[in-house]
Amino acid sequence: MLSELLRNNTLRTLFKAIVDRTRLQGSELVDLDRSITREKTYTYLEQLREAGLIEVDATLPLEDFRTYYITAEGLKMAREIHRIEAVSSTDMRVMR
Amino acid sequence: MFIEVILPLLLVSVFTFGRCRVDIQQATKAQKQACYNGEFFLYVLIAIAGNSVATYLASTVLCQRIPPGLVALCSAFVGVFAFQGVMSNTNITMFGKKTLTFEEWMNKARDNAIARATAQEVQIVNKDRLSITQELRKLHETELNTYIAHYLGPTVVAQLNDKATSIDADPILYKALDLATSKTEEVKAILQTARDAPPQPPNEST
Repeated sequence: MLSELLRNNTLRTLFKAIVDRTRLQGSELVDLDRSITREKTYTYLEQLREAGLIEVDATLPLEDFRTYYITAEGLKMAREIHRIEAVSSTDMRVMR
Repeated sequence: MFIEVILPLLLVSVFTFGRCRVDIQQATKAQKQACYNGEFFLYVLIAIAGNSVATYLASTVLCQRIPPGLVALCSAFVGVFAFQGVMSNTNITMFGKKTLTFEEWMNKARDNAIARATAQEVQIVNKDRLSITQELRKLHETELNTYIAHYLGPTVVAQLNDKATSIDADPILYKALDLATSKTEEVKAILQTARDAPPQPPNEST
């Protein structure tokens, strides 16, 4: 999943938004990136949920009002991504 | 015995509990009731264990420099708030192999506490929103639209109707959910006022 997150910008943006706010509603996540369809956003969210990085609360009916929130596994992954990004940005500065 | 061991431990526990509570509440922005759970107390226990060692180390240094009465308070304070720097770099080794650093232990416990508090907060908030939505659905659509126009803007009613139609959802349910999730406190106040108001006499114009 880590390589998928590093490769896919949209997936990473969705994941980071949930990490930053700890929880977000479906509609807020759809509005985050208008370049992709609503269905695609929910497919990505399902991918993150299946990997155990986020969880979904379906108390409220309709996908747009479901809450997507971070898990302990997701927080660990976020730290890992942050570490990799910090290392790669240092490498870039050294190369310049 | 009391001043040397029990008092510093008691102070460490109080300071650590406070520090962990602020930490988790800040990270999750959750209500107090959502933060207190098994994972949170495990996080506090691990932090107390680390902070106690740091407090002991601090007391050995401070006891030669400050009056005995203040040693417990000062060493507990230093132990709790300087713990991150001192203990974070401490490794636990078993049979010559590094098993876990204190920082890793703390991060794991903190992650679990944050995740659990977030999950509980989401459940509490959504149950509340669901009951508000059910009450909003009982309103006449014109009244619901008026509230939406007032709180979310006059153009929002049409936008929500369009969104609901585009996904084949019930427009009234969609609008009620949107209002309940975006203006929870205001809607609660409206519904409370409506519940407290005396029943209207029947219209006699007919």
